[in-house]
Amino acid sequence: MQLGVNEVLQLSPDDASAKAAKGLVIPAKWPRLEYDDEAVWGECQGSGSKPYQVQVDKAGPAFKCSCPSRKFPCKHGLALLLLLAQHGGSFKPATPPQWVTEWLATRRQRAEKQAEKQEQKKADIASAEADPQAAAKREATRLARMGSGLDDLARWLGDRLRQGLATLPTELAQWEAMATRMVDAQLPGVAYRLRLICAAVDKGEGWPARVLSGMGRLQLLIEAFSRLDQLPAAVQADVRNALGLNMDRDEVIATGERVSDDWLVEAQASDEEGRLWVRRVWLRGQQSGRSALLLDYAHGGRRFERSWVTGTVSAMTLAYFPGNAPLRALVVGDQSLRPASAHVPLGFDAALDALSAMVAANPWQSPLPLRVDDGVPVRDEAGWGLQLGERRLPLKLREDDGWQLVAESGGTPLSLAGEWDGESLRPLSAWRDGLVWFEEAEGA
Amino acid sequence: MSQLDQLATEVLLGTERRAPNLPALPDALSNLLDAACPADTATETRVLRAAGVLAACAAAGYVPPASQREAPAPSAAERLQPVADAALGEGLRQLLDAGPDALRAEACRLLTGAGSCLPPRLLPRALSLGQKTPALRGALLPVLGQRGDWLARQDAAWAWAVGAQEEVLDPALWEHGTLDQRKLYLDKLRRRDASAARTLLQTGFGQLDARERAALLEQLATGLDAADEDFLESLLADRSKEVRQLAGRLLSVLPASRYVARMGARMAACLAQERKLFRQVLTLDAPTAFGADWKDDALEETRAKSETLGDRAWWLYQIARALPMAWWPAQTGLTPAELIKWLPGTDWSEAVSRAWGEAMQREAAADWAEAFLVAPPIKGFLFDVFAFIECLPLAQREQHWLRLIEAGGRRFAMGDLLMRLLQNLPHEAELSADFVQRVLREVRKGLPSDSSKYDYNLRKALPEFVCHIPAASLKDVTDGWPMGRPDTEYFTETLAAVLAIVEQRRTLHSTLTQRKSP
Repeated sequence: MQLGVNEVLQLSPDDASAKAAKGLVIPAKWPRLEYDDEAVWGECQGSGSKPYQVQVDKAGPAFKCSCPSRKFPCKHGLALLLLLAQHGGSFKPATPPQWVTEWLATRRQRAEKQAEKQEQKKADIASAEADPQAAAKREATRLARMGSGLDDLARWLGDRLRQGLATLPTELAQWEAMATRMVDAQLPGVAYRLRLICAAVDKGEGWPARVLSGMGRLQLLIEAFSRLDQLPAAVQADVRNALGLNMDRDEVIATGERVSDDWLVEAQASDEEGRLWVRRVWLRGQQSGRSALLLDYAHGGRRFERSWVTGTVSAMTLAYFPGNAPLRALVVGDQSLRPASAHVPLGFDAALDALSAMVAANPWQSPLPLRVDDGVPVRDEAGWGLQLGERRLPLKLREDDGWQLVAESGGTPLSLAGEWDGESLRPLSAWRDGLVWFEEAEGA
Repeated sequence: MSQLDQLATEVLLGTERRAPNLPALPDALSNLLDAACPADTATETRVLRAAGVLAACAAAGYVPPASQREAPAPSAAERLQPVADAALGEGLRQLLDAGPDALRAEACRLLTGAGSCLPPRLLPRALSLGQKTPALRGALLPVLGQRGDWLARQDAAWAWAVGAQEEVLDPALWEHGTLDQRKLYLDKLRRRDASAARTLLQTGFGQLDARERAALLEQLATGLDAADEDFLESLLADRSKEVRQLAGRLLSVLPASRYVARMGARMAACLAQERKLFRQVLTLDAPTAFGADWKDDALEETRAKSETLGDRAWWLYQIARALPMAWWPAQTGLTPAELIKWLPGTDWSEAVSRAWGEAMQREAAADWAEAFLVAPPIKGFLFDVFAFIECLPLAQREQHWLRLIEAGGRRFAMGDLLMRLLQNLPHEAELSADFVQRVLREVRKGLPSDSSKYDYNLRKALPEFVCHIPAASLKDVTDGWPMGRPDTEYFTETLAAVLAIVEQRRTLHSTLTQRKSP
């Protein structure tokens, strides 16, 4: 499987890199262009006297370049793949030089170490922890701290109702103070929810109902925590997760439910929150039909360990985080690209049913994946929407993206995959006989 | 109103002040809540629990709201072939985003020739580009296809693409706008309906102050014709000197106007034939006195303090500049070249050459420009050689550019020359292979020199220059650059930009001209 031009450009960390890479797609600038079964490599003439050594591991794809750029992948790596897509004839099969074999060897070693570590973890869990007493004590302390934080929150929520929702717009600072208190009580998930609710105060018609529904859900969370022990294990996991008490990655890999399938990368969202980049990759199992979310964070720049190309299919195994409607997952081991199979369209009613089931199973999970195959994107005074017969689903879209979708649809149904936040769909990819559009990350 | 809305209204004022009434709920929900809230539950907790349950249920049972609106009817079937090739599509996207314009126009021409149109995803870009750059509209229109037409009807900003090129003019801008807005309004109206614009200006012209009169009158320069003559004649008696002179200048653009005829008679009186040895010689003598009726034609008797011409030369200059260039050969029977040769022999060379320079700027007369460019310089007459070259048809420009370019950096830097050359070159203009070769030779030759190194315009101009090279000559661009040496390192980026454009053009030509051949 080889990536096409559009797919390679998806890997670009930003527009500037994509543009710079396109400027390097000139075989004459590359004194060496070679490949073997595992990797592609080349030398690119830069401004210095020594050409840059650029290499791409086909599994992944993973990049390495000797240039000093902090972008990842850098323009040389992207250009190498673009060259392969557009001027494949310029590449010669060859035995890899030392700088390629060395890099591939280190990569393999690291993967092996990773696997070893996971085995170790599995063994650790199997034989219980080194010091179960100390661990239990740590856990008890944390739960106590969380419990006292939630008590404060319950009191505070009650006070808000005693004084009335109408006073909220004049007391916005209180929310931030409460959110800080929640962080102190090791409840980052609650702090995040408080800030979201606060942002809805006094915004648009009907805000009191939206704010009250957010407060009501917090109340459910508080009460779920108060009887955590009595809940089924899966719901316990959901409550812990909603409060911000996440399971360790190694533990998920060691103990999580495993699903092997051909996974379609259906949508990707990259958002910047302060200096932190959050990336959500939404997968759909081609045989199992299951959805999965790969959630990653990166500090300082949009630089994630693994790159995903929307529209490609990878054969791999996922380990799900536990929960009542498991969604978040981790990749276990290697992956290999597979040809994409034709998409079987799903009626909107079926999509809504799937959404209902997910909300019912875990009301605190957001955003949720939603794919609608029979809507027509439209634009009018009411903003962007997806026309579904006589109904209209609100869409959250940037102006440029919206017009591209309308142009692609031409007034006929277009498949949209994206994120549902309870009020509107944020389209992340559009499909018609294959991928025709995807949301590009801003800035970076 | 949803149950959550009702509940929120109940607690708007605070449970301290007013005990809330919980809204009626379906049996299943109300049973659930009763079970969850024993009698001793605090009111606030009861409300929060109800809100939580309602919120979760509403989220799980979400159905999109019904809408009275309908989606626009689907776009008509495409008659052209939208670009499907991924690499070509990506190239086109890059072009639409970054230009240069000449390359954009070429891509559109090639697409049109291949019976292709833009893929849907590029249409919003193309429509916005046309909105911002009217010069590209002609090229873009044929590659928008049915889908582009359909899309353009959905946003007023794209109206240019659906035949509605005439934007709606808001008369309020004329009635109450600032001077700039009124100028713009008048200019647009003038382009659409010249006589309506004149009539509009004529009504109430006298009530405007002098500055406004002059500023608005200037807009008539667009689409000037004989119908404007009467109005302009009347303005020769305007209160303001500026307006009088402007009216005169506008009238001199109309070769058949009474104003030009009067000026012609005055100039004719200064010309005479004299017998010298065995041939007739044309002589020129400036007027000896300022005519009584000259003032009525906006001629000035006294010259400005800074004026270098004498009184008589000043009068002659004013008469001469009001005449169309065509008047001279018609009156004297001499060709432009002969007249240019004749002028320095008279006593009034400075006055007349200055007048000619101004008239040339007004008229862009190709025959005169050509004659000036090849004639030996007239003393005291400095003309803009570029402006004169641009008066010529494209095919005749190259030889003059070459003369300047091959003269080396003595008069102009290469970058400045190329910038000027490109400035008024239409997008679709193609330079000759020979010209391209010779220009590139000069550029390459000069690269290692300091003058090229500090010639920043060269870096801007060269990539654009490459857009106007015939496709068959692209191979001349790629090789032979004196690179890999310290003194030409500064040029690396420019060369990369140049080569990128060559590559783009090659891709365009190879993918789009192949498809055309059967």
